[in-house]
Amino acid sequence: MKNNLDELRSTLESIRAAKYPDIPAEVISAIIDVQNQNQNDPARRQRETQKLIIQYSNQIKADGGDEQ
Amino acid sequence: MRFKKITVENFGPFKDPTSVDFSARNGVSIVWGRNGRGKTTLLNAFNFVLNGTVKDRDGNVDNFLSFINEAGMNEGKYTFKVILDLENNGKAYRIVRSIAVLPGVDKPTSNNHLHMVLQVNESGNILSPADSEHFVKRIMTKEVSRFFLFDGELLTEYEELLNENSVRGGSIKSSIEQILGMPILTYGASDSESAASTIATEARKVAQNEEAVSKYTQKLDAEEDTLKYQQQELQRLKEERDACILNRNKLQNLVEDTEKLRQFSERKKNIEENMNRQHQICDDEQRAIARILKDSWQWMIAPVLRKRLLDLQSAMADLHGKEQTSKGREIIIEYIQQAIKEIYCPVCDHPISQNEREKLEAKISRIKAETDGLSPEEKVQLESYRAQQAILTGYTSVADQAQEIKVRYERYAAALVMFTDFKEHDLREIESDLEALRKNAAGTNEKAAFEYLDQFGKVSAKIAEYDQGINRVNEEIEKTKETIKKLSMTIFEKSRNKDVVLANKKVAFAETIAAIFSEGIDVYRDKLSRDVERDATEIFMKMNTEEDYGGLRINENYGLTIIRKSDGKPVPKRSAGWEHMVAFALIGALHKNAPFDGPVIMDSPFYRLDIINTKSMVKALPLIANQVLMLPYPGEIDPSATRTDIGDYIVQELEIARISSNESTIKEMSTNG
Repeated sequence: MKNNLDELRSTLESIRAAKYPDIPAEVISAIIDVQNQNQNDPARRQRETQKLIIQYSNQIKADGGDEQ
Repeated sequence: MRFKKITVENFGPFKDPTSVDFSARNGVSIVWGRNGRGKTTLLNAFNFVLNGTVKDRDGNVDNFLSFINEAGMNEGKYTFKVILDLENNGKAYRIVRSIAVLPGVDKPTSNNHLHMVLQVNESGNILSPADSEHFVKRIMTKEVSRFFLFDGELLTEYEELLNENSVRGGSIKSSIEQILGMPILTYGASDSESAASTIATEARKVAQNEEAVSKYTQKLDAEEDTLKYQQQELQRLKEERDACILNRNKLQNLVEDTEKLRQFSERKKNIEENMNRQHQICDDEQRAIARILKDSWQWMIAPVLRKRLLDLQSAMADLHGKEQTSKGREIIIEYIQQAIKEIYCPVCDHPISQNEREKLEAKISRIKAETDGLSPEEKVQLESYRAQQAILTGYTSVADQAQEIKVRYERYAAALVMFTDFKEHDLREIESDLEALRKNAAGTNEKAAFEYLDQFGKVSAKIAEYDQGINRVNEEIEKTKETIKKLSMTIFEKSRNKDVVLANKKVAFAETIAAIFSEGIDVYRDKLSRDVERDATEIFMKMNTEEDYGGLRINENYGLTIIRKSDGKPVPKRSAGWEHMVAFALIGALHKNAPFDGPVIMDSPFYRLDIINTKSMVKALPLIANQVLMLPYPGEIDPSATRTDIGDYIVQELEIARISSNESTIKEMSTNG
């Protein structure tokens, strides 16, 4: 049996790489993991996702570009 | 995920701790068991330890009391326990779920006297109750477990997937998407959007004090308030709808649990209608027979009277003949006398001579002398006969109705037999079945069973109304969000504040992440659909024995149709057995495409299949999962053919053996089994 989470990851990575290359691949992958691990706990899932996005967005600089 | 061992104690027919060890090797474990020995109990054990739910043979859900071993109960042991040892992502886990008696209860008599206890041990560490719950839900949600733990009957559910408008099909579609990991994308998108909204709110707080954008921030605040109100309204509708859904699910369980009650009740109604019809026929025929019998003496004595009439007519014949002859001669005499009197012949009109006159008078004398008329006594006799004849003829003309009585009686008797049959057998049987069902359904009667169905329909209609309302509010929310987005853009464009500019970038960042997840939904769904179709076709073709069946085609609900090789068209009507195999192929394909793998436990999966298709499906078993536990009954599959066909994949063969009428155990299959 294959691990289809990799295929899901690769589907999003294709979209990211083709249309949104500025978004770091790791944040998408990390959100996938958070979602996968907390499917039964909506509050925790939402909280952890938000935490990840804020954590990555804090690396953005005001004068263009970011710290990625 | 791999199962290592399951142990049941005082659960169903297993009084003493009884285990099934799963070999470390991948393949198929077979646990043979005759009906009633405990195969379905084993499937229930998996459902219980993973989901905390059980379903008894009558379809009652979570009637835990009925799962306590009878012998154990007689010894005062009112608890049961299921332990599952498994391995997940390299860690060893032990899940222990048990049913215990509530404090203060000596002997439980209802499920209200029991409570459930769950404990999970992760690599030697006992998890907290909350973490234990989280763990079991995470490794296999209830929705997902239906694809791992199933019986043959459950396979029939998947036929609903072919019906695009089926509510149940829609719910199964949702379960399928869950096993395939779609919620990761849908919730990934909505949670990212929610994060973007939080960041945007924070950013606007920064911009509020800046004069260049203050009028836009005020408008934005108003729109935010509108959005807040709309979201509250949405939340309210969703909560009310969810409450309805919960209610509907409960009702659905009740409707399903009481299905037999309704069916039997309908059957009873039909029997009673049939009884009434037969009773009516009996009544009608009885009345008709009584009516005919009222005058029956007339046609009953008719044969005797007819004989009497014949005798009478015979007796009358001589007298009648005599009377007729006499009458004829009298006419001739009268005729001659007329000729003598009128002197002319009445035939040729010539005058009668004296000689002729004498001859005629002599003739009269001769005729008179020859005539022997009726004597006065004979005349009286003849008149009497005639009077009797008139009376007898009246009675003998009455039609014989014996045949009609016979026909009507046969109809009456047949109706009476049917009525008695319905009353003595069908009605008694159905009433006894109904009584048993009422007892099992904890006092639910037929009236309640029909009310559940009625309420289910009403709640479903209400849910549809809520869905429409939710869609309308969602459309409004989208409009408001669009306005907010435009206002935010204006604020960020016009703002000179560095923090606002930075916040704008952060919002865009979060929204882009949401867009990636959102765009991924359709792309991934299309891909899954193609992959499931391909893998299901592969499994199906391994089982297929029909030359013209070329593969499977998937629909939007993940329903699969068989496609003919000859014309590329779907096979219009498939037998139950083929439906079963298609459903099996779908489950195999879902396992291949799910983001995680796990063991498959199947209880009597072949009951709708013929010998050839059973053999084909057995061959396909190793394709659907690394670990397969099959629970067949003897005769469901051929043991020696199975060993020949998938011998390399069989890791162990066990059997459920009976110790006593209320106790079973699991042991290695005997060599000739």
